[in-house]
Amino acid sequence: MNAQTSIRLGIFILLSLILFAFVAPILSSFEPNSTHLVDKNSAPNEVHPFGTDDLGRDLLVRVASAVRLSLFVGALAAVIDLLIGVLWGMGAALGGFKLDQVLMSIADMLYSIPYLLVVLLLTVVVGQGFLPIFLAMVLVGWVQMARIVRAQTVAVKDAEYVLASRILGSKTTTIFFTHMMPNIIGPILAATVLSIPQAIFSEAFLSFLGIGIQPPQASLGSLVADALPALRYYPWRLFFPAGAITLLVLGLTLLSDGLRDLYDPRQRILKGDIV
Amino acid sequence: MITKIVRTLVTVLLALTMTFILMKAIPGDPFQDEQGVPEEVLVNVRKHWGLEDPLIVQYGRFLRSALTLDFGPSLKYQEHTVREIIIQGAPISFRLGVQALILALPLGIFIGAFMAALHGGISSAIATLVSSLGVSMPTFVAAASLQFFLAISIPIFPVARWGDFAHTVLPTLALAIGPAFHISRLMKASLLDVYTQPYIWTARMKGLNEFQVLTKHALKNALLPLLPYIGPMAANILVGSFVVERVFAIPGLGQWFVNSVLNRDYPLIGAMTLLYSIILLVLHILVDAIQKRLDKRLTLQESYLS
Repeated sequence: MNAQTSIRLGIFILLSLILFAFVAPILSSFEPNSTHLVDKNSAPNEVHPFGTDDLGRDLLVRVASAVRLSLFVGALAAVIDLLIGVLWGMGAALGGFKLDQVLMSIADMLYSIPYLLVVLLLTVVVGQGFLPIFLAMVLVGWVQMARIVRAQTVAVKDAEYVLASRILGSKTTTIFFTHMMPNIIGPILAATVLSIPQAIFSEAFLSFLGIGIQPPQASLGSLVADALPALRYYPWRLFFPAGAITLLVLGLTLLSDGLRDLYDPRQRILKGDIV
Repeated sequence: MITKIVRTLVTVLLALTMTFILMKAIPGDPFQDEQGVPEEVLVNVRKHWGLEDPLIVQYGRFLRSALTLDFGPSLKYQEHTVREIIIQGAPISFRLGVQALILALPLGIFIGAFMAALHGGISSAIATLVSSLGVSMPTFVAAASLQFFLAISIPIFPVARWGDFAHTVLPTLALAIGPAFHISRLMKASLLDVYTQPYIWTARMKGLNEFQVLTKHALKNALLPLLPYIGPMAANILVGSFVVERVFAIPGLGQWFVNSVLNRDYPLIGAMTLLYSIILLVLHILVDAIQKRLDKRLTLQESYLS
């Protein structure tokens, strides 16, 4: 599969899911959290295309609402990555030896604390829900990005075009954003797209364990967890949320792979796209 | 190597210190949920467990317990010591983790080599798609699906609980799927890279067939770039076992880890942090050492630098 196919397929999957997440609730007459006990655990039918759960809530709108939550978590992770991670990596690469040592030591230390532990401790400090997940992303989620940006920047910082720009009197930040950035944007984009699934995974993981998003709000993790006790009798309650999160991450993975290959000429030669 | 170990110890110390600070920043303590107990009694209970001491004294005691690996009794489940809890749960979690790793490594390498051989064409596209799907499935989805298909729909394996080897099959599979496909993707990229090297042409020219080229020359060199990923991956497998333990109702460490934090069970939290940061860092050092041993270029580089 070449880069273009991968990107197209990824974007197609993502757009379909986004469309589903935002349009399904409009078309459906059900609310994600309203219960109808007469209609509980019904199999997928015309009224409830995904069936209902043990409180008679419509699974279609619940899955759609959970996908929206995942998309939000992912988008937030990308923004945090780009803000903190890129600046941190840039500072380390261009700020001189001492700053580099300090910033990267901090990053290494943050990286060595188990992520789950950070979230769990934060959960106890600020309470269960979305906030600890967000704070954990701010605290440690960007470390990988900082490392990538630093490595990429170090690789290009002695290039002739950087020297040329410096001789012409540009400031370091100007050089970074106007001259280095276009050369290192590929790995950064790929890493951004790849950090989104990690954030989506950890939110779902925590909600699955019951310490993330709290009921009645639906998360893909908690929907799967809710389905487990009755798996033998109502398997569709597992399939739809499980399928949604797998598809969502698949779309992002394909997009990230495609972007990486597209911007990495060495890979393109290997794959026979350009000879 | 020595500096590496010192650095590791410093990191463990920092992780423990951060855990301590976060634990103490949390309002409340393990006894706040006790119902109908007079305030004076609570104060005495806290005194008994040393929770009224100055923070620096508590910190010293916390570090001492980490050093002696003796955290005393759990504050919430006082009939058990922390050591008992860990000795009871750890072998189960580790067995799952180690089995998953033993399965995932060769499987991933094999699939990766297969995908590299297929390179180009429709079959390769399908293989890429399947491996992308494999890394996109969260562990809990893999676990729940395996449970549904191989234990409920077609009852080959036990649905849940812990017992003989049959009980470990589905949890191990669930844990291994993600890492195996992850390794296969890395392996494929790495192999394709190696195949452009001159020594591969030499090997082909001296008349080796493709299989010999792969096993005698390409594989060894393609495995090297994978090593840095194995350490964090192994750690992830161990942490990922929490979810799998939950799905299959396995009495490992996972339940304790989550409960210890929610109960503010300080000794148990401390022990868990210590355990996990040590595992993580030991894996890092191990992978580093193996890498140096296999790749003489790294040692050479380092001796130039120093």
